[in-house]
Order: sequence, then C-alpha cells, then structure tokens
Amino acid sequence: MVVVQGALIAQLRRGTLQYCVLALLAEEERYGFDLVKALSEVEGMVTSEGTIYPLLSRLRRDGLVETSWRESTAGPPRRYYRLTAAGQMALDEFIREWSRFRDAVDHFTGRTVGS
Amino acid sequence: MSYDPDEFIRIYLRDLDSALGDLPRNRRREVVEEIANHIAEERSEHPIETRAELLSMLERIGDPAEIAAEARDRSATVHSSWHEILALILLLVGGFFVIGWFVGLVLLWTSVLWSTRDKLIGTFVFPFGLALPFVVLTFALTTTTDRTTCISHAQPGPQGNVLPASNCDHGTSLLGWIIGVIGVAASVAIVLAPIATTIYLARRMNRRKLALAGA
Repeated sequence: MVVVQGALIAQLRRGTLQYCVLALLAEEERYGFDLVKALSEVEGMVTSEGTIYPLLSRLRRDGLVETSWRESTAGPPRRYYRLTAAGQMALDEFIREWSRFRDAVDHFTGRTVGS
Repeated sequence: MSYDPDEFIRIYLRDLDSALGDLPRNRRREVVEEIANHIAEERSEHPIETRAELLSMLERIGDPAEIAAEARDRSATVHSSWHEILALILLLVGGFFVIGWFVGLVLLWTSVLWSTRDKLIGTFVFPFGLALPFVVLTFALTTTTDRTTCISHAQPGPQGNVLPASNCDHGTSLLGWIIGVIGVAASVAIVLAPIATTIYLARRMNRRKLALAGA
C-alpha cells in the first residue's frame, strides 16, 4: 500500500480550495454558512470549517468576490458572497490550467490505476 | 457540574480573537463575526443539547490557532512597502509641516503590516515625531539665553545699573541645577524616543514581511 504524503495533500487542498469556493459562487451567491456546508458535503475538501472565513476575507480583499448584507427570515442578517468579474476570470483561468495539469498527471499515472 | 453553551462559545470566540491578535483590527473582527454567525446558524439548524454536541461542533469549526494560521497565510498578497516607508518618514519628520504627521498617521493605521499595538506606539511615542523635541528644545534654548543675558546684565555695567538679584539667582541655585539636569535628560529622551519608535516599527514591518513571504 502506498502512503501519499499528508503534507502534499494538504498543500494541494489549500491551493485548490479557493477555486472550489469561486466555482460554488459562480453558480449562485451564498452566505458563509451555506457555502461551508456545500464544501463539507464532499469529503476531503475541508478539514476545519472555520478556515473558510479567513479565505473568504482574502478573496474579498483581492477583489475576486464581493459581499452584501441581507436580512434573513430566521436570525441575524447574513453576509452574502458573490463572484466578481475578476473572480470569474481567475476561475476560468484556473479551470483551463487545472484540466491541462490533470490530463498531464493522468497521462503518466492513470495507466497504472487498478493494476 | 453546570454547563452553559453560551459561555463556552463566548470563550471560544475570545480565544479566536486573541489568536488573531497580530492582524489588523477590521480583519480580525470580520473573521470573528463570521464565525460567530456560523455558530448561530448551526445552532438554529441543529440545537445543541449536550456538551458532546457542542464540542463536536467547535471541533468541526477548528482550533482557533489553525484558523488564525489560515488568516495569516498569504494574507497580504505581494505587498510593496512604499506605503510603510512613507509612513515612517512622515511620522518622524512630517511634524515640521504639521499636516505631514497626520498623513503619516493615516498611512500607519491603514497598513496591514503593523498590529494595533504597534500602531498605538507609533501614534503616542511621540506625536509629531522630531518636530516636538525641536520645538521644545528651541524654547528651552531661548530661555537659557535669556538667563545668560540676565547674568551678564547682572554685572555692574558702565552706567552701574544692576538688575534685581531675585531675577537672576536661579541660574546658580541647586534647584536650577537639578532642573537643568532633568532638562538635559528629558531633551535626550524626547529626541531618542521618536527615533527608537521608528526603528522598532521598521523592524516589526520587516519581520511581518518575512513571515508573510515564508508562508
């Protein structure tokens, strides 16, 4: 059995998580809790839910997402996150690069899967 | 044993706030506020009944130190430091043009490379930087000159006029001497303090930049 280094997986997750966030926001605008739950549904993407918030804060400061406050039917107002044009461009760029990268890695490693 | 979830959550958020201590205040508040909202949403969806449920929720959210590490990580995307360098120059010498110091103050408080504590030090040690000791020393020297004049006037002139002794004797009294020593010490201190503050802030800035670059 091959053990993939935990540190490498953590790095990969860290580098790609923000694009998963951007991709979720490209579908529709969401508030933090909703976004965190959507990410947590897929195993292996988020280890600590709380770390999404500093990430969102950074995306906002970098101009990739923007926020607005909305009243909620239950409880306090919610801060909604929405993709900006710059965020959409960053996401498109990432998707292109990611596909190429994934294909390249699969090209070499894919043929050994299942053997 | 009594157990109060609200108290528990309050402590968790306070720990988070202090773990984020070296970040600018507005960013710190943003993260704490969002996580407090997250907890409120979570509780309205799944009310917490047991201590185990509470702990499991906080564990899912994560250790404050881990959240703080994420907040610090890459927190300033490639940051040029002209902003901070200009702030340091203006805080030191901008006071000579009064407004310059205030511009330096705005730059200081809007920088992400200094903590609130650094900013307080930069603001209060000392306001107007070197301009303050300059004004104080100019005033002090003028006073000393007056005293010298007084003493020279105290000599019997060609016309034999002598100023009243009470106006001139404090220059030679023990009290006058002590005041003089304190004056010199204070002068040195108020000149050195803004310089020391500038060096301190420059070091803090560099350390912060290194930490960010290494992350």
